[in-house]
Amino acid sequence: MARIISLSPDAGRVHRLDGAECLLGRRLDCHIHINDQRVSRRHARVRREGDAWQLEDLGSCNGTFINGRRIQGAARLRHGDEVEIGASRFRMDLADDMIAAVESAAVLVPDVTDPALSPLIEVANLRQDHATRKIGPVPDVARELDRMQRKLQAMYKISETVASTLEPRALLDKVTGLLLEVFPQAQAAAAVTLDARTQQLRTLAARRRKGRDRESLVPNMSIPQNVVDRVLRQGQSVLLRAQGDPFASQPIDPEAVRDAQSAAGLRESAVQGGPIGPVGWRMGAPLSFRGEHLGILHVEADPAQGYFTQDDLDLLGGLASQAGVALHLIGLHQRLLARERLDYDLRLARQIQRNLLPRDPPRVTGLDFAVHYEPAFHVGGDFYDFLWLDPNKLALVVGDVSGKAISGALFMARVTSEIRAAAPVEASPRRVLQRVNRALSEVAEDGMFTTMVYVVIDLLQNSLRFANAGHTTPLLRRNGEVIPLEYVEARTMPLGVEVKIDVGEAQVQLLPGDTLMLYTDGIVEARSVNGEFYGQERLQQSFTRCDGVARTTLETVLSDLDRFVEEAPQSDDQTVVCITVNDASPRRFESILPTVMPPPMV
Amino acid sequence: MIESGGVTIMKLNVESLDALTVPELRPAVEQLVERGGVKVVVDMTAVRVIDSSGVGVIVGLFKRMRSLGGAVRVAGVSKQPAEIFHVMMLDRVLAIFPTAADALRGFVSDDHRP
Repeated sequence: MARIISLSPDAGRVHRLDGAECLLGRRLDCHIHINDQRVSRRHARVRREGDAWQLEDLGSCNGTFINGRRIQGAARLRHGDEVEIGASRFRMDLADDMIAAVESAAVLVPDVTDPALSPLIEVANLRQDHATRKIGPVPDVARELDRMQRKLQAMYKISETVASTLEPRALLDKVTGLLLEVFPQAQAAAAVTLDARTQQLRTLAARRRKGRDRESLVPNMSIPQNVVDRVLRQGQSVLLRAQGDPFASQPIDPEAVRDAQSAAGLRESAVQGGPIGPVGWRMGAPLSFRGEHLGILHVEADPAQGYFTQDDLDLLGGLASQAGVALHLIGLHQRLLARERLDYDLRLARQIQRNLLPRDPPRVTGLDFAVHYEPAFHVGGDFYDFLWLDPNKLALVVGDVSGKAISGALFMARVTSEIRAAAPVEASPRRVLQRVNRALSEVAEDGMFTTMVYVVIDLLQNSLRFANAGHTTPLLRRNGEVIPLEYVEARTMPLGVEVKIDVGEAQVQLLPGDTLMLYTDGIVEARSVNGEFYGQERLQQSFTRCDGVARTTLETVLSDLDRFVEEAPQSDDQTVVCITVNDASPRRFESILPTVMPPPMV
Repeated sequence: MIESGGVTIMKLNVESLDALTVPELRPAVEQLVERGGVKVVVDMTAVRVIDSSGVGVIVGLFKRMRSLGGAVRVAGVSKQPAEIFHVMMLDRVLAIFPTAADALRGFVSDDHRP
């Protein structure tokens, strides 16, 4: 954030430039109110022009000065400029904005195979070298303090930066900006990350210092492959020679460095004291978390402004490790978000699927219904449906499509819609199955198919007709005995396997007190903790013990199943539909004809 | 998987072909489809128990091979799987042979129906 800092009066007072413009003048409603007779009422204003700041004199009597020079109309402001209006002086603090301009400098990774051309500067060796040779005078205390303060500030700033974002690109963009702030000699900084899956490097952020860009500079930074290896494999921070350094093949001699800098006409201050140990014009440090190297922070110096020392490298390493932790946490956060999104999608899918199935069984006097539907995952492949064919005929279907989760659910939606399309136009269960089978064989080329039992209950004749396409055998409980309805003539293979199927159907007269149970194989194939199947026999036994009420029958069967499986996980969808014929009213069906035709279910 | 004269023999080395073991089988099926190996003998000699997921994967393979113009023969079907195939009437479409050798006989050159 750009700021205007009062130098006098009110020295140190900070005015943040957070709006589009900032008015300075004697009027009370000016952003910076100056109580001074020599200042005009609306004297000047600071305005953002693109990514730069401008100071404009609004026709004042006594003028506006930048660094002692009176401006005419508008003038561009630079970081550190001193502005004078009347007796008031201000310092422009535009540091952030100086590096706000992002010129996306891509990072190239050339493959350097010739070790002689290696840009690496052997820090460790040179440091030892330095220790024995004692090059350069010992830095004075003031310089040392200054250095320490800069380090502390940088570390403080990075911790502030990493806490401010949850997006990797935004984080690294801020970090590269910070690097340009922390290293005044740097002209460009970049952050590349390593994609763990593809092992590809990606430049997530790159910044070049504004105003120091020169024609001769390549817009790309290059990090040679061997440096990438060194940083990412070994997690080392490295000092590098300048790009195209003619002395690349020779070890760097700090004395020679100083000479080269003097020869390049560097300011005396830059050389004063001399480098402590090895120096380089580029450096790279790993973005790591617990030994996992996620990427590289790379900084390039402007040779005219200075070089990087071992000290700079240490600081970069510290900053990079902080950024690495943040990057790792952001990664975790994003994975969590993705999972939550998937969870949400699945919950939504479950809701949608649930809405495809009937919410409540129909209400029919004399008949009693109970339904249990429990997908093993968020969405299931089991389905059931109730369809009124006419006021006296209720169709009931229970089925199971091959495949689970999303693919199963999509196919299930298709199957139920085919049934709803076929049921009203085909009178008999066998023809409904044939029609659905035809439709499914045309589409189900991906190996999917479905089993189902289709039952039509005739309320006038007290009978049920059904056909079974590869599904579990319907069970009828009559007088305390369970009769499996396994009529061969009513059986056929699952639907969607063969284009043409042979199928007949069976009819059963219903008596008061009868209970019909339809279920899916998730019930009989439920396993105990020992891996044993629940099985047809156990199901029939528990069904035998039931009373004549659909709801309690269902509960009895399910609780017996629960006792059997104990803590074993449910691996398949489970559906049970029970229908009990009440013996309360002997002529029940005539008395229950719905007065209003139920809505057509197509 | 063993390749024999244009026929792929897929030997199922699981005792129970069920919801737990089927996921291990899927990649092999995908591989088979990708390679375009359209004549497959599924050797179920080792399989003692099959559940609906197991049936699902066999019928799925059958359907996909047929849509590619190929065929599936099933061999070495033991008691429980045979009952399941029978109850589901899948024995009417699946060509079932006592052994893999029986299944291979005549499969290489002529048509795939027994």
